[in-house]
Amino acid sequence: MSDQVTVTINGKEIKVPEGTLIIQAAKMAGIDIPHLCYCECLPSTGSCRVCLVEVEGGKGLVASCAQKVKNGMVVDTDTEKVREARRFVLELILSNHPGDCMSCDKNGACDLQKYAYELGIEKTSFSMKDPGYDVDRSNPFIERNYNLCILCGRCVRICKQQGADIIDFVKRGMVTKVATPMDRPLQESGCDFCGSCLAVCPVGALVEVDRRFCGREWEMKETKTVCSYCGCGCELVFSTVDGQIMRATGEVSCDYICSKGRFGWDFVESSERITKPLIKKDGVLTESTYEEAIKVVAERLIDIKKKHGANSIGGFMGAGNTNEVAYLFQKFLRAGIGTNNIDSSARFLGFPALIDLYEALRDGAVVSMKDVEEADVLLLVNADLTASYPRVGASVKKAILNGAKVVVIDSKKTEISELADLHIEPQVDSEEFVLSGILKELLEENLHDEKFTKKCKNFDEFKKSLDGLKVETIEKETKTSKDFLKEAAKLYGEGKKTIILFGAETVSSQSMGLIADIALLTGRTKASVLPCLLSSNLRGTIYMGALAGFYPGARRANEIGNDFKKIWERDLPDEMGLSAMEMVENMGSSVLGMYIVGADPVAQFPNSSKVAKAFSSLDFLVVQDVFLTETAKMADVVLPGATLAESNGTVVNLEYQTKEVKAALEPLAKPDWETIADLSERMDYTMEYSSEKEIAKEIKSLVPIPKKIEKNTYDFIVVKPKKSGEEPDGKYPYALIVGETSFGFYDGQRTRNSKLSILELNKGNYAGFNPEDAESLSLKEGDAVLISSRRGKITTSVKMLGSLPKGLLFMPSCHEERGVLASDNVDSKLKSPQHRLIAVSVSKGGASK
Amino acid sequence: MSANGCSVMITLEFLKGFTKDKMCGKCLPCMLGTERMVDVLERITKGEGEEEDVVLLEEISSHIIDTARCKLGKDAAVFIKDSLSSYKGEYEEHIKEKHCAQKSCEDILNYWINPEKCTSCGACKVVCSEDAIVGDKMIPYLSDNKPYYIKSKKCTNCGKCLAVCEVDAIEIV
Repeated sequence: MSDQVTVTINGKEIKVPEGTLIIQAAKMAGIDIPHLCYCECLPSTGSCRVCLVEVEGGKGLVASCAQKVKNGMVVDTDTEKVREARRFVLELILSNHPGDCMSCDKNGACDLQKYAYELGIEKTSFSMKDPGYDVDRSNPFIERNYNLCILCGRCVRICKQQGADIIDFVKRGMVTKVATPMDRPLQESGCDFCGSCLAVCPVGALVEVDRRFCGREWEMKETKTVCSYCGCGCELVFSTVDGQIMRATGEVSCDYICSKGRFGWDFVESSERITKPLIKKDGVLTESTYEEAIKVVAERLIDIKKKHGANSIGGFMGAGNTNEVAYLFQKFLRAGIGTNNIDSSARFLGFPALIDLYEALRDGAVVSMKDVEEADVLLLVNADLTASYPRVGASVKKAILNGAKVVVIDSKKTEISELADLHIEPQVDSEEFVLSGILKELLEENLHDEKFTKKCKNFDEFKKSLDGLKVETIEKETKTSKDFLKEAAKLYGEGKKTIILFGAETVSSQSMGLIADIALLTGRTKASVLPCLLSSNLRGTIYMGALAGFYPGARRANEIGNDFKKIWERDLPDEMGLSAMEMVENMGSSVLGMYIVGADPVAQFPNSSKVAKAFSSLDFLVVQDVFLTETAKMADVVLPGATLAESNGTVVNLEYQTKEVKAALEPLAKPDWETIADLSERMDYTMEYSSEKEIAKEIKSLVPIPKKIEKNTYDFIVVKPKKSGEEPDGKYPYALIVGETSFGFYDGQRTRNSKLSILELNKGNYAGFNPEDAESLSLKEGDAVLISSRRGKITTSVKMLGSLPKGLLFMPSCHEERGVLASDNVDSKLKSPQHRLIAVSVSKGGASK
Repeated sequence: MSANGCSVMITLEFLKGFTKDKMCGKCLPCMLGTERMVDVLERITKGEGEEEDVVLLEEISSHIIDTARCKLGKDAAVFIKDSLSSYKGEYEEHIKEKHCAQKSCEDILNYWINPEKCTSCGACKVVCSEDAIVGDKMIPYLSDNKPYYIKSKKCTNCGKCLAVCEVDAIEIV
């Protein structure tokens, strides 16, 4: 702990750590010093001069946001001289602030207004000046009125720290203005619309377009909940007026919230939402009542069960529901219906390979954002952080500003790779060789932790298998010089606090093993590997047992004994249960009824034309979702789903923290758990819960919160690197990968129904080409192009992406037809498709959409 | 400084130079305050100054000395403050009498025809595009011709008359 110093502020003596700023020390003493440019999370600039204080024995006034405390310092924050100086500065600012508080949305939350009131300034004594700038209303997210700007520079600093770093002060003196390069609109300047600038603006210069003239600051009701997009599970505060969301912010103004979190919530209010149950009558889905719909579903499911047995029914759910819904859904299927045929999107997003990784590393694979920010070396494997898991991306950016070294292994360029110290661009799909190469170099350079490796039983076996791999093979497969690998090993090996980050859905299970090995070889078993998860409740969904082969508590189905039998009061099936792809395989033959919650298998599963055929051969399909998805269109009954913004419950984020979800809105539909419970009731398996809290209680009694288990012995995972994707060949000469984009998300169901979609070309329905490839195919941006793989073909439009290497094509995961091309080749052990790399051919033309 | 010109004008020029050159615009009191002082000084040199303006300038400059972040801003304010205390009379002359003794502030200069020097040749009236000069040309043996004089309200201080007068009868006061 650093030394404590004693300071006296307004006669109050307080002990604070050395190096504390006066303004912070005052806050600790409960004294709020007025400030405009200072912000807790940002470096001080001392430019507004509002936070001036008097220091005894000092010369003149001192800016408290820039001066650190000294032992014995005596500070006065509220003398006449200080007030006079503040009044002067505020009056000057007000004379340059031609806004009308009456119609300003910041009214009531504006710092300038607050301090002017506190100092009793009725009117500025200087003549008013209007800068006369045009108000930028060209995007539907942020309204920028720089006439109201007081040039505090908070937005500039936060954009540098966690945004896209696109705004800065331009010009000088009185004509200084905050602007993008060439003063272009935000959407043309590479802005990632994280809206951090909005959150820190102390006045009305930057305001959410959504809330303009829709509600006053003091009318807002705040609800703290969790973002429903990626696995970062950021805490969001929804401000609502009369049941309408006005804005979403972080808990503290400078908390990072990405574009999807801050602006992507509007799908909740979309007119495309399903609000009433639909029943297919004569081939057309017609509106009905809950009563009737539940009756139909129960009757049909009972009928199928009677005729063909419980195992002819299957369930599949997305990974974005609350723990309570996931738990209840699998309980309904396992105990209510009596089948273990339950699976979730988690299967496609990294699990169950991740379970192995957790078992291998335990605490090593639990990393918080704070750990990332404090790390000194970060190794990124196939993780486009700023697009897929923006919160992690923001933390990495912060770490870089703090001086962290970053090594990126990715075939394409990403926002972070541009900032990285070393970017290894291997041949696509050869990450396993790169990682093995780094392991070899770590050993060769003697950077491994010998004391630790001695404790591992299979170190020799592991070493032998590495020795069997030739450097030449690695260089040949990756098309990367071993010097790069050596440099990466050196950077990583010599770091003090290192973290390996990877995208759980973008690396193979083999790579995960190798990543664990790298951490183990250097003896880093505490917070050293962070799997980045894509879906908001991926961990929770697994932990609640919504995955074939696993029961709640992530307990393997063959190891549970009688634990669940007692509480669920039913006999449980003996079979392990079918995974998602196995269910699809058996549809029409042994699987005849499906219950889908919050997922769109028909559009999402690889080889979607085959999947669609399989679903159409079902006897009965019931879908519970927010929107009428491709799967829902084929359903016999559609039940309305609730969004996270309308649900109560808990989710588990990628930091392994359980977070509470609270409904910010009156739900348009029944909560998902209620629908499931009603259905179960009808099927003679009573689920009596008065609220989701009771479900949570049952979960708690069944699967205690995992304790931190001290692990003493670790084992290396012996991996023989290989390439798992489809290799491009003569007929299909291009490789295609599917990945996340900044403004699209996963299946695109939500982002497509949000105004975020305008930021993506064609709402994300495009294929990215390297400009050289495009030229050789004589393609221009926006051209229609026909892409075919061994499974099928699609027509889409062309987008130039300089970030791609030659020969690699990119398709956003929110592309409506992304499933058509993907391979349904299933990994036999994990039962999840290995569809990272798809071999495709490209031809110009095709009917444009 | 007054040896070479009007203190008000010198201060204004200094401050204008400061805002265009040294001022960074990073701390608000210096940036906004100097701009306000430029406004006030410009007002004074145009003869539109009011009696409170000197007090206002004094206030702004001492506040900037207190609040500005760097020495450049503080020094600029010190310069103004010194000028105000050393040459108070000149400022007051500009404000109350609308007169610039150093004849630097063009807007408050008056052109005047010295009747003792004027030969009533009429050349000035011919060149005056604003019809600001009135009077009759001297006709020998007549003595009731009106003497030439300049109507200050109409005069734009363009200086054309000054250039044509052969006997230097037109003076600036």
